[in-house]
Amino acid sequence: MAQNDKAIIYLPSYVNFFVGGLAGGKLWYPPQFHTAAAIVQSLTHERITSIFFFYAFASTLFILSSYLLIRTLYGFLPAILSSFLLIFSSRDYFYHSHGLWPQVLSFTFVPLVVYCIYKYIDSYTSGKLQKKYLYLGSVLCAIQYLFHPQGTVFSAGFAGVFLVLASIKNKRFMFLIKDILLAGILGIVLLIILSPFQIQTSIAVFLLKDSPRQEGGFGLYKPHTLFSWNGDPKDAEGAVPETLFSYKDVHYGFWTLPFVILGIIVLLLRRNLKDLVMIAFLISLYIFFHFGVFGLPRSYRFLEIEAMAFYPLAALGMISIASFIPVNTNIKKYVKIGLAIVFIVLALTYSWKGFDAELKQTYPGFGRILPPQYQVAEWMDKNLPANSHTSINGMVIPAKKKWMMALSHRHVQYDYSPDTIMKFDDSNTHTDYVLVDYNDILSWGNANLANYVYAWEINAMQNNTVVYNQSNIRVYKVGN
Amino acid sequence: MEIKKDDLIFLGIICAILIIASSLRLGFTGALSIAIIILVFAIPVYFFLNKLDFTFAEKTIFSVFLGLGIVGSLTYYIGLVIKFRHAIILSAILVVFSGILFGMIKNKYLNNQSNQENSAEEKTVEANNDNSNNPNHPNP
Repeated sequence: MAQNDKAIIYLPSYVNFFVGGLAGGKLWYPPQFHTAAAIVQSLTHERITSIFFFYAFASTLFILSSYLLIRTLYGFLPAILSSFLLIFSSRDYFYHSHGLWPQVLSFTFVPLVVYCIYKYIDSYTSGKLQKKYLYLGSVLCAIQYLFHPQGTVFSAGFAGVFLVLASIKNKRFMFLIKDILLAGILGIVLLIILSPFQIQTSIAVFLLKDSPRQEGGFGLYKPHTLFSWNGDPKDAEGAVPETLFSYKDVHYGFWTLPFVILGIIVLLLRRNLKDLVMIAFLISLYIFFHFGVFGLPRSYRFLEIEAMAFYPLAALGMISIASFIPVNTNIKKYVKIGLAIVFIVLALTYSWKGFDAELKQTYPGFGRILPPQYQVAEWMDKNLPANSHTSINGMVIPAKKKWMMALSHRHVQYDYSPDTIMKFDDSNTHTDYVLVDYNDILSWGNANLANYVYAWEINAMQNNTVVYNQSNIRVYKVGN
Repeated sequence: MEIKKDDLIFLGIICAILIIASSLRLGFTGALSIAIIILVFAIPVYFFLNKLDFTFAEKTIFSVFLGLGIVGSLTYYIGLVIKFRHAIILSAILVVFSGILFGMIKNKYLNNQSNQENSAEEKTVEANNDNSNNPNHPNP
């Protein structure tokens, strides 16, 4: 959109080939996230930094939304402490660094929807009903859906759990069914208005083509995992590393755990409406983490929300220590500040250090697109036909080929098998160009592999014309 | 609407981190990107939310989140008809304008409602006064 200065209905050829011609080549995902990114890209007139800045900004919005929720529930100090700790939330960073930006943005809405539902119930309890919060929550859920449906599913699940808990505690319905229905209708109408075609397509895909169930369909799988907090790491095998399920690894040791437990104890002892919010949050997390038990896939993606519940609880637990110290109110204020300082020191000592080390390891060395590779991608964008297919050979990291596709706006043939550094096959008549790149191999310093690829190139490409030859990259025109 | 001190502190911290980080790491593009996010997404929706009875913190934070969806949607659909860059500007203006329009309608409606309530109250007072002068009125 930014490149052509025009919004799109039909996907560019290279994306259409990539998604297998889904929905007749039309844009089948709601366009809002990509449009927002394109707005920043278009107005800055800069292609790379602006878009990654937008992604980073969008992915860190959970710090802001969580702050609003926790400040309302427990005040400034727990809010600022939990928001500070959330900066080092490794799971959020993990999903961001793996490119699931729309999903990460969708999950950042969760604390806001939680906030709106809490405000509605709170106003109902106090007798000054404020329906605006419920309707606002509905609008936020609709927008959340436009970014990624999983966030909305969680928000709706939380709303259900919280309304039930609040009603049980007060022994009467804590909401008006009419309001809930109206809010639901408002959300659906808004979705249909904002993304009519895409909603229709995504529902059809969900129900018919790519129904999100496990191979055996709905059922009961590994019920013993219900006794674990996170579910079964094996359900996410191949998708995310097992360490993503480890408390020690994702929260940088166990230093937060005692405070989280203390926070939960405080909630269970008090059980007022504000505490029910966090209890409902934890129950919802547990339910969603165990979707796999009932045959629903991708429950591991909900792990990202955990820090939004755990870190406020850790801050609350730390601050609540002050209430166990028998001193007067004035001194208690200073005790709380002292505890906050200890919390910050612990966060910097363990979480910041771990996070910093992790950041430094992301996309190391030739894991990134190298300058000659970026250069050839730009050349491809300008010189190759829009519907051409290029086979990339010699690139060691398969995911980089996907990036080459995004950067060149041209379809690139690739797969993830490590033994297919040479992808080109003479019998593949759909290949129009063959790109042979030695930059990864040279950066790696693997002379044997370089010789092997060179021998293959000389042999396989001898009858084809070189159309690009710079910085250890050659592009051949093959076929007719 | 009253602005809380802690809200300003938090916003100040966030803005400072954003400006410092973006200018140090990303230079002018970083600073421009954050300015665009604030000007195109957040401020137009803030204008709209300002007409509703929300707190300062709510308006500030909701405007960022709603802006991404609302301005993104409007720009996409308008951008199907006109140039994308023009659509961005037009969308932001539309959101601001709809906020102003909503405020005017709301004020008019509220004024009408309060006028009606006032006149109803006046009529009740007058009726009570008339009745109090009537010797057959049951109330003393």
